Amino acid sequence: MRVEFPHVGETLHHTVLDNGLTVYLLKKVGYEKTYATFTTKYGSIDRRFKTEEWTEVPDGIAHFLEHKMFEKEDGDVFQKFGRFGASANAFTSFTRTAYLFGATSNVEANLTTLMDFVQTPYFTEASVEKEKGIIGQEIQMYQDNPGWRLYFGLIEAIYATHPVNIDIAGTIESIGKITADDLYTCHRAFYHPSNMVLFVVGNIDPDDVLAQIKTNQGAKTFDPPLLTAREPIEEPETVHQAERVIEMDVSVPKVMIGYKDTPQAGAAGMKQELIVELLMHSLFDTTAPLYAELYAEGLIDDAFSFDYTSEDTFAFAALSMETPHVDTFVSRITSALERPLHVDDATLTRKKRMMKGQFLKALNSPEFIANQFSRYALNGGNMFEMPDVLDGITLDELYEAYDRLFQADKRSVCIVKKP
Amino acid sequence: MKGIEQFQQRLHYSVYPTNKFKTTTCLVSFSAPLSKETIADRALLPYIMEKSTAKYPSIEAFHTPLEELYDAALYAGASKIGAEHVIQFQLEVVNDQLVEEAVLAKAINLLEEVLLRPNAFDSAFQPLIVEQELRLQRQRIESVYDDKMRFAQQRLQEMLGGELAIPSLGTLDQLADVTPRSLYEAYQAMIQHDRIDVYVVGHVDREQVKAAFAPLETLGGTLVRRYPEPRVREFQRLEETQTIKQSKLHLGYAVDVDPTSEDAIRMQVVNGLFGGFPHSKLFMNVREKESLAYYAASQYSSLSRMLFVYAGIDGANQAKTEQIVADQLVDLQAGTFEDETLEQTKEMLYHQRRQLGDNPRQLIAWMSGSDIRPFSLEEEMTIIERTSRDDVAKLAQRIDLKAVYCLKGETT
Repeated sequence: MRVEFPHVGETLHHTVLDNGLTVYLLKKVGYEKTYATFTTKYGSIDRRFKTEEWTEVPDGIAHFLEHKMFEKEDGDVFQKFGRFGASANAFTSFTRTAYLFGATSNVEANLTTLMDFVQTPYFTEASVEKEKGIIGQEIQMYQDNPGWRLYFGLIEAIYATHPVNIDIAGTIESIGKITADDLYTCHRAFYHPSNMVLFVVGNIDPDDVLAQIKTNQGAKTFDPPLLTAREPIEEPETVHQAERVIEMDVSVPKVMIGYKDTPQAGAAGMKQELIVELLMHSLFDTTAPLYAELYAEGLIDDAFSFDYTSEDTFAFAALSMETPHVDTFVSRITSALERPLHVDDATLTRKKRMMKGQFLKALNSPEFIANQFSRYALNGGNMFEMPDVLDGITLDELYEAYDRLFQADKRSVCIVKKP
Repeated sequence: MKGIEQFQQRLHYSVYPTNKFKTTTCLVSFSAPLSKETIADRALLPYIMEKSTAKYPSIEAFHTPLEELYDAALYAGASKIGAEHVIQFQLEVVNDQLVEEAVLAKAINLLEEVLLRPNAFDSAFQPLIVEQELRLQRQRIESVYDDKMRFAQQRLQEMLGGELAIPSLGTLDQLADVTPRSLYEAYQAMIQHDRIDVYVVGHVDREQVKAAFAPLETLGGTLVRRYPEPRVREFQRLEETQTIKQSKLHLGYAVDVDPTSEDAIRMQVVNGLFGGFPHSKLFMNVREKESLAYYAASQYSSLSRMLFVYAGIDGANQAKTEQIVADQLVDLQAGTFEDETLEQTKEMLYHQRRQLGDNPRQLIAWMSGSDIRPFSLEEEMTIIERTSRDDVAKLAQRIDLKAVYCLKGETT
């Protein structure tokens, strides 16, 4: 199926193959590079799931599996990509694992490598043991990173039971328990084509690429999907902990203020995300009255940032800052958010123009298109509808979101500072 | 790269007209000799200038029209490039055609307000903004401590001396002498004496660029490009301890290669084989074979005539890791590596070059770098293609370990 998105000047080809794999293809005229992502809806939160029976696996296994997919009986997959001039990588998030490459030559060979290596598990006990040292160092590196500790501390404070409160890489102890059999179990459950999205963007002929994908997938046989259920989430509406302090040897204290939101899936999730982003831009951008007030007092500056995270089963807004005056910063922000909202139509219109501009600029990047489109697609949304959805948002919807989100019992504060 | 037009008026222009992007990107770059005396003022100047102008005298007043223009993004920043200090103002604007409005011309006017009519009075920048930005700059300098990789690299560069040892943000002591007036003097010196380069990528043609930037044509001086002096210090070693879990091992090697020569391009092949890619010797041996690290990589800085190696390891494995790194270099010097690894490295270097044209910012970064190296993209690819095993071995022999720094943590 070919869908035109004239507002963004792009044409998308969309197909679901017989084996259940969803394929998106986008031609970027004039680009040298082709970029492909092969993404499964499987991340660190999927620690309990049902196939024939309920299974619980060690924390950090989705990320561990991502690492181990690159090692095969006949050698390292990076070498294979390197031979064809492609730069390959992978990442694991709370909800997704993505494998990707960018190539300016041999696109067909590289695309075959991508599909084949992700769909051909090969794990041995020896190679699993060896990986524990490498990932152990990755975990230690993040443990020394105050920004990561802060972000994770905030999530731990917000969520009581949701598995998003477990570090994506797990712990040295939890990965110590992982076996080759565990990896096979997870691969069988979550790497079925019907749980995956393949996105190819760049200087491609969509018909040729689709034919290649169909041939490759048609030559493989897959069992019927095994996954029948994921762990049901029972998470209260309010936060787990109001404040969390992490002691580290940092020169400047760091703080995040989080507000827990009610998650929405699919198109509704995308709309909610855009509403909250418009709201946060109106409240916290450098052009907002609150920013000017705090800037004049030396309480806010370029180190300030804000962000909204939205997935099927969890959503939260976060404000981040580095300052010696953490307590004053927190009390000024939180008390400002207890006052009634004042946003006028002119501001909303300007913020919509701004977000539309940001989105259009991001479409220069094949990486952004493939990664973000796949994220929305796996959550049941369509990224290219964003400008239209943005246009339709009303001031009332911002006011509703403000009243829902900025409640004292939905707020957690996390601070990283010296002992 | 084909399609780049260069021309000289008072300023130097590089323009790449193309319809493939959703944006037009402009960069105005001011270069001066790197010096300890001016670095603190010059490092802070862009942060002050991007905040407000005479006509839009607060952050709020200045950022509002930028937001109106579909988030015309104006970034200013400063960096050390070899023996020069460079202040850059970058503007990225959505194409007029996509939003059916003339946004580019208006955004360039705002950029010119920043450059020509800053928020200054009586030969001094606005004190409130200076005070806030000074505080923030002190905090940025202190925060280097919290980023252990950056901290370790800064310590290594201090050991190496010369231009490398000058911290890009200046020091806290130097910052103490920065005032609204000294910043204004630095601004005046910048617009009068710096070499000014203008880069534009997007929906434009040469005449449009000339017309749009004509108001800047009264600015700038002539500055001959400067390159760092080759380093001659004796080998040094330093270890420090902090309460961290992972130790950071950083090695600095002097590279006896002229940054403007063909060998500087060939040295990228050597670096690629050593630790530039996931198929490299460092990645394969330190990480994949020995499981000592999550990252182990090398980086070649042609202008500084240096090559750096970084690895995050368990402190107990420091000696073992250093030995493996040393062994990999010895292999390269002896020409001991697979044909296939050499070919893979070349493929990756071609790929890096071919994809440059897909990202306006990368393209501009390359355009500005290519003013220093006298080769076209195509010529660079030919030099890479012709690099032999023997070339690699000979060049690897010109890599000499000068400093080892290890930031040690607790051992496990």
